[in-house]
Amino acid sequence: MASKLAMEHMTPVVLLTDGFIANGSQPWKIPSMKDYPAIKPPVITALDKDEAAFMPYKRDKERLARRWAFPGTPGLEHRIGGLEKDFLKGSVSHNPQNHQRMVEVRAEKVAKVADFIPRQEVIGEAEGDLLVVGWGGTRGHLVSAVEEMQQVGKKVSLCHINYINPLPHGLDDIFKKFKNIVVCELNEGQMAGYLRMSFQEHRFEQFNKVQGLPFTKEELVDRFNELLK
Amino acid sequence: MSELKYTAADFKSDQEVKWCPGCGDYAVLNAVQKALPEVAEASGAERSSFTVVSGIGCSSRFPYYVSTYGFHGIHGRANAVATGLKVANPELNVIVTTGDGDSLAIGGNHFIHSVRRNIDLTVILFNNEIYGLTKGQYSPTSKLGKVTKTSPYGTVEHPFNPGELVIAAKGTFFARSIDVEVLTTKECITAAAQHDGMAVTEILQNCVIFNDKTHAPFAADAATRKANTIMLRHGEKMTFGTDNEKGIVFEDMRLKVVTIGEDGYTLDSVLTHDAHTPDTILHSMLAAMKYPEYPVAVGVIRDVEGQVVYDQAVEAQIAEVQSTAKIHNVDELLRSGETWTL
Repeated sequence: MASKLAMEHMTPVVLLTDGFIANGSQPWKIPSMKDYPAIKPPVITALDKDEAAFMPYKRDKERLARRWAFPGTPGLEHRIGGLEKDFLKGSVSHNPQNHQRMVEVRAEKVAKVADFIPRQEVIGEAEGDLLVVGWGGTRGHLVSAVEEMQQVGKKVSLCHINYINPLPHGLDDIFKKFKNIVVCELNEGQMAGYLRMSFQEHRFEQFNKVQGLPFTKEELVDRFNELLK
Repeated sequence: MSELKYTAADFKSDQEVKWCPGCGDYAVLNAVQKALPEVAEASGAERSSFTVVSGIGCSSRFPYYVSTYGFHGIHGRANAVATGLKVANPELNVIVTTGDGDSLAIGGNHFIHSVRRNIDLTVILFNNEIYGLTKGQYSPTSKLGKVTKTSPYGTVEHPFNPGELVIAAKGTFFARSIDVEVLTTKECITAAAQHDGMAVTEILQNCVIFNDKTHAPFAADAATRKANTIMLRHGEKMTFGTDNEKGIVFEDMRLKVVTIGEDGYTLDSVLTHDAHTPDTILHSMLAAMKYPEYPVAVGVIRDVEGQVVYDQAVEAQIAEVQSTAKIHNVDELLRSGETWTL
């Protein structure tokens, strides 16, 4: 998925992983490549019909991705690099208005990725007393703790986030339906801070641990029960 | 030139060139734009097969000004990006433009290893012995004792000589020119682009703002250069001087400057340049020659063919392994280990 997003949206993607994901082991069903979605990068080998000269920074409407002309393709020679570029032509541009326009379009390009990733789902009931929010390699412990509480009739659900920037669609609707939200992270609360910045109308509790150890189910359940009091 | 498929104008982009007035980079750009049509002609290459990759620095703005594919890349990592490009598509003619800061400081590791691997890249190393873009801090090629913003009492560290570095890493091509010597630069770049393997050309370039006249003692004007530099060409005698009266001889395990016709030295005593020998010792000594004891060597100092070229070897290895491999795709790879069906 990271490769698909990087190539189809022509944007850098940072793939996060951790020791727990890397070192955990269990038997798993080997997927078949035919079940994987195809990756279709916007590679071009000739000018568009309405294009007199190559405009390397022209973007498609859906993704705002630039087209990808490989070196060696005749007629599509162009230069890329870290200096700000003209909105269409791609020449180095020092024009202040052009810079603002480019910064905005790049941010919009990243924001549009949300239209192409799965809508956020909840494990458990869609509404309740406590929503547990997690991300990354804590998923297994969070699922176990939440399921244990659900079995004894507590109205607790889990929202495990797999995409950080952009965040998936649907989070606001989920947050609205819970009385309390707790963000569980093996750090000092970066995701909680990020969610507060992105969803200022919601209140986020935190549960953090930085001991080089995973959460235990017991400590999660204890914390969730405290929040339900 | 008229019979060539391309002219220098075909390699000029419409981008406004932005270097300081009087910067040596203009002359190098001019020389490269003159060399590329000849390189294209010799190899039958299309303009679109040329790709210019750079790192960060004044010289790294270069790709914007050449009308072909260009990538103004990551500081110190031009060689790494260029390696990926060349290995992915060995048909490309990949040119790297970089500086003494970019390639010998932050990118030192990438630089020596790409030389060692002998990847078929044409590297143009602009050496102005200073960090120009960041406004005048000393670089790994600044002379010992050089006073700069970051060495207010003079540097206390010994500089790299890029030629010695390349040759010590068993580089297969090293040439040197001076920014104002457009014809020599063009000759070096043309030879470098046609070399099979990594080809490094060092350009002694003047930074008019932050390190003006650093090369002037031997390069200030045509007469000074004639007296104090030596143009090396394969198969030719190593002579130089205002009247071509001096020569280089090998004596007591060292190079020595002699005057022909004096002290018993004749033209026969003078060394003949062999750029093609794989042996590195003499090439290293020539690259290390330092003014004022010696003339500074320019031209193609080392040009050794027939060595393993990384991208060609990778391509051949992939073809060979693919022809005999039992695994042909990802599905087969995933099922090739200890797998079972429940």
